[in-house]
Amino acid sequence: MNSSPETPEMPTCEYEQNILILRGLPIFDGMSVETLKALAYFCKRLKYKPGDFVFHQGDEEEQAYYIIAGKLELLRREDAEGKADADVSLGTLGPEKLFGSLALLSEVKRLFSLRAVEPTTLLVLPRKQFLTNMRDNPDFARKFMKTLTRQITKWEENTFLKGSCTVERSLANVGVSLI
Amino acid sequence: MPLPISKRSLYSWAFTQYLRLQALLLAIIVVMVATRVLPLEMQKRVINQAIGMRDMDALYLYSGMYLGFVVLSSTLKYVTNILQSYIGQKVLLEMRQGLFEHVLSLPLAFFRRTPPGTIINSLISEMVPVGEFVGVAFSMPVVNVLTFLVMAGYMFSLNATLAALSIAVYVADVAILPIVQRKFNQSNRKRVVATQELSSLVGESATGIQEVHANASYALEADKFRGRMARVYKTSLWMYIYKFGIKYVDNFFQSLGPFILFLVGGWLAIRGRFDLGAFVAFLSAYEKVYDPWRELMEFWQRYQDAKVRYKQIMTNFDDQSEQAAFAEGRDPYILRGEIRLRDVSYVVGGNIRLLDRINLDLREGEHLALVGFSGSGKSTLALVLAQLYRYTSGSVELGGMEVGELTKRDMVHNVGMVVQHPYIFSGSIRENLLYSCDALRFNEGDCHIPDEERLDRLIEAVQQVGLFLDVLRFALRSRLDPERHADLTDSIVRARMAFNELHRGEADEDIEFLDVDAFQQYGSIALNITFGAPRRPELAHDRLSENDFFLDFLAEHGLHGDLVRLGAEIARRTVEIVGAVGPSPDVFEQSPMAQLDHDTYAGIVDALHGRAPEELPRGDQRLLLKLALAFTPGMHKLVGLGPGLTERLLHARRAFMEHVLELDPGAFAFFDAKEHIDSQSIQDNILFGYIRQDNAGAENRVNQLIMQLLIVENVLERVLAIGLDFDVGSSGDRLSGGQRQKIALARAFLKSSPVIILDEATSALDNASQTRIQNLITRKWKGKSTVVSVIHRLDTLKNYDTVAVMKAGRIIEKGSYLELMEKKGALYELVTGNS
Repeated sequence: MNSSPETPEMPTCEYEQNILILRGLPIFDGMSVETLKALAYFCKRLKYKPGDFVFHQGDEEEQAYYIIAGKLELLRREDAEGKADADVSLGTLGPEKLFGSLALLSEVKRLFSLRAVEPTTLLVLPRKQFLTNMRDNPDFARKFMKTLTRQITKWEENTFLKGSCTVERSLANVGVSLI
Repeated sequence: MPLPISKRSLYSWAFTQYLRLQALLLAIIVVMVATRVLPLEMQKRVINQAIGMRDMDALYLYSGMYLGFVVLSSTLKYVTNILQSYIGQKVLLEMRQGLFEHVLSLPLAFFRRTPPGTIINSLISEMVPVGEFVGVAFSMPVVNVLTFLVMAGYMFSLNATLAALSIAVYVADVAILPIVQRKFNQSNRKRVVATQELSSLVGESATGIQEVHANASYALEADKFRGRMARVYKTSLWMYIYKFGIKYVDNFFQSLGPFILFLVGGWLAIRGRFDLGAFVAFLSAYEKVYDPWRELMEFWQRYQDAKVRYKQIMTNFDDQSEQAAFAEGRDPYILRGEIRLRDVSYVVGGNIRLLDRINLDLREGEHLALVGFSGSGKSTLALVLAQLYRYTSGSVELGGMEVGELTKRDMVHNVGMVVQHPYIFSGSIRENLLYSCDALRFNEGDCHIPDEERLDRLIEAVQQVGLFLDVLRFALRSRLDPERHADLTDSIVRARMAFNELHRGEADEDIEFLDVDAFQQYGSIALNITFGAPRRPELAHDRLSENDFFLDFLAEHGLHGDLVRLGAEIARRTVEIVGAVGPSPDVFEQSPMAQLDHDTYAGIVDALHGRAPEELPRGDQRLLLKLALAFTPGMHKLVGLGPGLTERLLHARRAFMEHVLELDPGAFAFFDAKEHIDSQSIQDNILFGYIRQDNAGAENRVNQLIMQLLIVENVLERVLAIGLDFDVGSSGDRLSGGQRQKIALARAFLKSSPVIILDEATSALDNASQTRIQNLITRKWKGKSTVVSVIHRLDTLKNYDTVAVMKAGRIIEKGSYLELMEKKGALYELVTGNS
């Protein structure tokens, strides 16, 4: 916590913790400290009780999430031919995971629902300010695109390795970190 | 049909509507020019007849007349100026209005190639010198040519030889000056180029600073700089040499005139062939003969400038709308919602066929879904039907009339449209909901909503599109004006009582109730200390930092220093964020700093470098204190409060109550569960506390409870009306994508035309809203309004009578959903994803 040496008596606050979290995320590698601070400033924390939905499948969203604490379950509903099947669990997500980063670039329809199974605290990264940063900081935009492209490549590669998605569903082949 | 505005000539603006005014101006100018020469004559007579003859009466007479002419001349000059400005400003107004209307009517293609910045610039700044030029376009040259002729004529009347000599000097000046001027222009151009080169070098050295440091190439860069700087230096110097050359030539010739006059006129006067009065009058006339020349030069410059600008503006907008706005002499058609397309093609860019021979028949009230891959032309077809694109061949009939021949007014009377990315204009939600209806009113129609039903209909529409809770939330977050809503406040307090009785237990997690013994995370520091609403304006929370009574209290309880330091930290961090992302309103939503005050605080933050907040001037400390007092820990996460400070603030609250009760009992109304708190929002008033914003979904859950209570109190509608006044921000940026699309849908519902075109109108909505709205469209309009809907989510298809599948600009398959699915053709492929 060395961001404000002038006032050592100020207790650490959410904003400072957010900066630390963002700094640790590979996707923000190459972001200048100023931009990182600005993004951290606009992040919000939300608390969920077990059973609360963070979003539903098909929701159009403009934010990414980082799990500060808790546990979440991914659910997908297949309704081919109008028969509303029950939700299928795709697995769980735990602390220190960032997901939904593609929504930072453009509206994304969520491919699954996300439900808290434990009391959970999420850090919400809004797209609007992220885009402002991209616009004002082409260098960062380039690096971000690179990281993203690498993630997509990795994910496609995984899909090849595991064969068709229908045989075995695992988090690795649904691209959770992206969508 | 009048000439389109973009084809009008610059000078037509000066005359078309102002012929009579210009004639009046001409008359005034003639008189004015005469009054300019008459004082010279009086001057002559004063010397010759009054002073020369020692005639006091003549002196009074001529001096009086001199004064009279001078006063008249200046008055007329003043009148001329005013008339010129009047014409100029009036023309500016007409040009802007006319051009704005013209631009809006241009086809969408125009706006794809013209950025909004160009339009704004043309209409706002570029236009000003043009309008001002038009104001003087006629009168300025007339005044000056006339003045020159009259002055020269007067000089000739005094003495022809002398006049001829003087004019010769004048002509020499006029001949030489442009040469020097041209030299000046040349060197100035060179200087500009050299300066640009210099800037690009500085830019490069700064951008490539890593390379510079790595190579220690300071001297190398400095050497490049020196070379370019030398050119800037040289060209600048030459520019100044010519610039002062112009002045020199001008001054020289102007002074040369009197020299000739003294020499030749003096010689003539000594010989008795030229009297003294004439001599003086001649001198004055000579000086006046110069001004018109200078003004004409200036006029020429302004003319060139205005001509270029005008041409630029008009070339930008030289396009034509594809449809007439309305037809003179007839009411807009009211058509039946039958649609008939025959061989409709839309070809752009030579031979790119966006639509390729489309045939389609829709009966009144039929619902058609257009599906297909992106690029298949489904949106294009929708836009062609709505007359937003003009088909290049074939026939599109709406109610038996060719769409290409209908006016825009005919279209808006019969067609409602929801575009893919609806635009929300700044203003309230209400204004945006009524946008289509208001537009219809300007087109001699209306939505047939009686005034007394208006609020009900708006609320109904808001409910239908699923915007109800949003509007309620906007309402609950706003403060009641106790003057305007006196009776509402009572209902709010009753709702508070009911809330406390009914929901106290279940909502505890989502709400931070006002509690005199607890620190309020969602209340400001000022609220936490005073724990009451001020009864006098000077005690308002945002003015406490200037209140000596309060400041003394803080100092006494040892809080002043802590709060100033807190304020300093808030200021420092907010200013830092603004430095990174610019002064956007979002930044200030999460800081207690107001956007307007940012610059002031930026100055204070500067002063804080290497200084403790306590060392700042008192005024600055107070400003920092103001920030700290507005700081609300639950909302503003940029700094934290230690538990120690929280504890001390709580302690101060109790002391403050005693302090106030003892010294000034009427100053604050301490929070009382039986009274409305004017400084707090409706929601905070009902809850007698605050929603914990970091609990996901808390606001929705609590709002549901509040809504029930408002229904019981029978004030829900009135509260919603407040929510409808919510200001959506510039281009609606305070609304989410979904909210914007819902507003656009509500516009169409309120207007409810015979034909409705939806271009992916629900794409930004979640599944539940999408399904609900689709059901509503079917229920409300099936069999009544013809609906053409571009659809990308295929699960709503079953609601449509007909489905048309498009590919590469053609309809490749058409029929009912079930038919097409059974056929196992293109739709089947799209739905099952087996393509």
